Amino acid sequence: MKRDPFDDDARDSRRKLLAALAASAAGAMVGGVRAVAAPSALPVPAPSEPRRKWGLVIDLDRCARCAGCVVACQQENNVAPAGPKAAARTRPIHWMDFLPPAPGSVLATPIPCMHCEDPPCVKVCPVGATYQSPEGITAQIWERCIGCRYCMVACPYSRRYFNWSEPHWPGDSSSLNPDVAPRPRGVVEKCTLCHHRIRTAVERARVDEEPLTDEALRRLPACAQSCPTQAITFGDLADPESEVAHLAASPRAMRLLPEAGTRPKVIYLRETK
Amino acid sequence: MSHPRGRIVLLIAVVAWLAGVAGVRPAPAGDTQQPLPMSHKRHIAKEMKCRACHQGVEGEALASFPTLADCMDCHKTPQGAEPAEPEVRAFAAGGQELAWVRLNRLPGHVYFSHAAHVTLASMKCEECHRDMSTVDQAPTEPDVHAEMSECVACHRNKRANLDCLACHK
Amino acid sequence: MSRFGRRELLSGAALAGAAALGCGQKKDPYRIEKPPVPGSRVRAGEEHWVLSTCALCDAGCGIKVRVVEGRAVKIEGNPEHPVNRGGLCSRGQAALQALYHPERVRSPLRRQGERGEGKWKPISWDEAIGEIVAKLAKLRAAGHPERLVLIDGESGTFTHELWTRFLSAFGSPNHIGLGSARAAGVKLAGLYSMGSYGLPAYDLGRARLVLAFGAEQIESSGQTMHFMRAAREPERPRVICVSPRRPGCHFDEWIPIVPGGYGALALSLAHVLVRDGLVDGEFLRDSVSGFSAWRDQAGVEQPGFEVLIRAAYAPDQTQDVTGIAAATVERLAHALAKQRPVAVASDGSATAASNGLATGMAIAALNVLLGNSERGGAARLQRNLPPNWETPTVDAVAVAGSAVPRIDGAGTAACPLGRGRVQAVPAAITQSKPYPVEALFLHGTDPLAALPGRKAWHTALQRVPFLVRFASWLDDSAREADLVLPESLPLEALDVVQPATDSGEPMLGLRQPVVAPLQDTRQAGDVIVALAAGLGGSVGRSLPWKSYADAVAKSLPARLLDSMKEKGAWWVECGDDDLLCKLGLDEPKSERFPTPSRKFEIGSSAVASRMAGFPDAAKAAQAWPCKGLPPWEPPRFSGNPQRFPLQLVLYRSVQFVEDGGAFLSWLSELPLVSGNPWLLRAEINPADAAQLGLADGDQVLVQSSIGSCPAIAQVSDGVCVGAVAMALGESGVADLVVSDEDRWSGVLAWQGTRVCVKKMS
Repeated sequence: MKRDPFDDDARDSRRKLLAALAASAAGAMVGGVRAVAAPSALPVPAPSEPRRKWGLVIDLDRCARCAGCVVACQQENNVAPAGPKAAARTRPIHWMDFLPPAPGSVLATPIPCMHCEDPPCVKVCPVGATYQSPEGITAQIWERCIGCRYCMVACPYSRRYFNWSEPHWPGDSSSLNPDVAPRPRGVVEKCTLCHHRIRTAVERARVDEEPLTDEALRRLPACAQSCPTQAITFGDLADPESEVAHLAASPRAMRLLPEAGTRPKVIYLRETK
Repeated sequence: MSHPRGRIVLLIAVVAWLAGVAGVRPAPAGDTQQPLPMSHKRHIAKEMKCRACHQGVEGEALASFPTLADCMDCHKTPQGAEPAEPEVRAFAAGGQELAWVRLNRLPGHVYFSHAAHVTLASMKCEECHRDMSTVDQAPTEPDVHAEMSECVACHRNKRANLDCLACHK
Repeated sequence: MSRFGRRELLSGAALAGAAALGCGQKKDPYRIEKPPVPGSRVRAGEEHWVLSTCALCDAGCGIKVRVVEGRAVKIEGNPEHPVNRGGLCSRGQAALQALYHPERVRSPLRRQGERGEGKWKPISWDEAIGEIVAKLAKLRAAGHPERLVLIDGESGTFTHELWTRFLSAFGSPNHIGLGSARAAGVKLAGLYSMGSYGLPAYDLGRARLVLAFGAEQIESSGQTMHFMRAAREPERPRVICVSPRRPGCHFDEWIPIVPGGYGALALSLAHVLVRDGLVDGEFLRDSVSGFSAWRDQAGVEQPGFEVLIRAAYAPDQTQDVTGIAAATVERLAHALAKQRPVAVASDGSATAASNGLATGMAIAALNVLLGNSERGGAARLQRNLPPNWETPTVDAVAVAGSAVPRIDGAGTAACPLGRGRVQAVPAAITQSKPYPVEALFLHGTDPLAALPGRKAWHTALQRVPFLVRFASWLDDSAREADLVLPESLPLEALDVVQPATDSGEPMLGLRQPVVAPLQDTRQAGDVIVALAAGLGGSVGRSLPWKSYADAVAKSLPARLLDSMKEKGAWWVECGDDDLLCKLGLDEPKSERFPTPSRKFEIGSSAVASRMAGFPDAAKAAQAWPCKGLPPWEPPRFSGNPQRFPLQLVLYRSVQFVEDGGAFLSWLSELPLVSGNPWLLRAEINPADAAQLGLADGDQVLVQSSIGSCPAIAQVSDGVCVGAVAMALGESGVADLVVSDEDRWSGVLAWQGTRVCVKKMS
């Protein structure tokens, strides 16, 4: 029987590998080697340029691993379940995923798109479907995607998913969020940092002539909103007064695969022991 | 097993490109029937503003349609010799809700906010919609046929947000 | 026929859903076309949020549901709610998938053909209720109202209280809950040592150290949210978890324990605390009975806990039964003493053994030695606010019926200290002992899938002449029923829930209809009211309401209900002085315990007085081995250790509850494991795996003396040697469990089954 080249265990083994790398990074921190977190790549905003840089901070000490963020994301972003058969072929889509516990570690790690400052996926897209938005979101316009999956190969974090089939929802489409377009078969999809919620919040603030405070932003994406321990914080990394900027300056702060040079805007706070 | 995926992918790409060119597309037309013979002309002649009935137009993404209760706010007392007024009152007596047919429909992957255009950009309704002061019947045809290129051109002219995420979802 | 709950159900469902979705239309793959909402009066684009209370476990988290054009599209936590402050776990959010699940029962169904054949005739609600009323009226006319039995999986809701009221007016003592299969070990320990049946309140916000006996509560239980909130720096408590399986959630230290050894560990810790003088002496003197020497009912002087514990349970003696090194116990005891306030919390999994009650009492005693109680510690009594309905009027038939012993033997010599024994129901029905069961209502649980002893349950259900199942889906027991009454889901129904709080002060959560019922369903409360009205007489007069909504409106002061509607819940801080006075909450909680001695009872004279009530009281009292120490004994395991060398450790995962969740694809697909998340896993220690020649990912068959269940082997050092861990709620797992129990309390020994694991080729 010929093996289907698109239907292998690559994703799963890659998740495991990544988890191991992440664990070793965390271990290095514990050992006092600061090299991992030290090259802080946070953009410092020029005074003339009040441009926002959206980012997430995930506190692994607070995270209870309840996976509430996973369901929140699927519900908010109309991510269809794969079903048992497709799941057996490693095809479930989780914009907010969990890396399985790595050897030597016991806890899974929540992992959304890293929204890299230097995203490798953007460089390889032949049709300009994926790009970095001025506010730092690694965005993808579904309708432009031709499904070549170069971006999936390029992403060192495996944060992109291909729709192998038309999305199906058990029951009917009643519970779908009208603010997010579902993705058809043949399209690569990924975390958008809930940009539709950001867009609505920004617009609402402007219409109501109210300032958009950091406090109002902190729980804006669905994952951050749902988190029972408030382990996920969202905000403007370019605003030195924001909660995320403060957290990103914590000695516990670290990034996944810093050696990949991607400069993620999703920052982890390692566990306290 | 052969691999038709390459071809499928190409086909999808073509379809996607074609679809991407179009902007606002009409809802499936045909024999569209609105629940009431509502005349924009007569309402506008009485100096009513669009927002009086399309209440979301200034603060929400969707402009929204009036509910029967909105109609009856005025029509519970007779508004003079209005030919269609008995119909709305009969409708109200029937206890059913008005099922207006939405004519202008956005493509599924496009976000459009009336609030952003009307309130923040101070645009007039007529800049996209036709002049309703002459329309004497409830419309049954869409009146906005914008292409993405037109959206982009206007955004460019007005130095509005040109980020893809401003309009795509 | 694939059983309900089998996860494959979804794949069929997915195909059914495909046609309905707009994506099927080639014109615009991105457009979402939604089916119309019948009879809705909504404005295009209209959206609003409805406050309600989550129903996926007993924690009572506040939720807000986004409703767009009459359809619920998102569930979020209510940020103002004191239980969860905006957060919500995966289960709570997945309730949305249940709401629009394609396989919901759409109308009442009457069985056609044989039981289990699956032939149904849709009937109207009036017909269904008329049929039940006719059967019930016959039972009362014959003077045998006790022959109606209700198995009720729900607790802590006003619907549950309404059932209690209905059955007492009708005249049946047989309102049988799932307590014995859940946390009854902890609750009964509370009853016999603190005088109040219920889970203690753990003030985790104040605790500096949480010692969790059993991982269920930090991983998945009614207390989950409290734990999760507590799990934050900088002042978060240190969480130490004692459990045979490493919890899949956040913790600071895991101490593996041999299954069933919890009580010995608690007593061993008590030994060190007493030996080293680390106890709260003042509290023990003022508020605890039985610590020092005491006189029993016969006037004989008993040595007291202090003396007895010094002589027993030294850490080096318990090492073998707990598998925990003496040094670890010493360290733990000193940490407990040093980092007060601490909370020593125990859950249903720790007490689900043949020594369940004693284990619960030992853990409760540990809290008292450390001075954790009303006086400012982290474990307290929970106060509740029951519905304030007028006392029902019952007739002679009801009085006589209610006085008959329960069929499950709870409160009789068969189970002297228990409050319920749902596991005894199948045998009682099958043998018609102590009397035949003429009608059985199943509400809120599917015993075939959620309780051990599937075969026995199946036989019993076949024997019941009239079986009514309140269900949203055609689950296993619904398939056996004569009548299926489709229940509205919590997102469509009204109810009031009574969650536990950190402070132990009462709280009420409002569940309100978020969307109109999607099918011809009714909530159980409305059915109960209709049944009472149909029966008339004193039963009708006891439930005199037009509807369940009416009953709820009459249950609480209007001001409280209004406040609940506004905030989604009511807690003490929401009340004004007048209201608190009216509810009897104006006085601070008494520091006295509602026990016979008004003190916390380590020796538990409550047990003695309970025993004295039995005909052969002296014998029973003698048999109860408690003479000052909780009568802990090593756990009993079912299954020959040669054939079934491994102990089955069941745990509640973050995804599922006992009654399911596995059919909700969002939960079944949670990426918390490597590989296909839909597959059932059996976790096994590398040492055992090596001996059995198993590798990670192997297909295996887990077998007990009564059943077997296929699974995927997951080789993990997160399970102690000699154990196999599997998640409850997955189909087939309950089939493995032998229905053994604690002979005193009737607590079901979920954790008392031996299994073997075989590789499937």
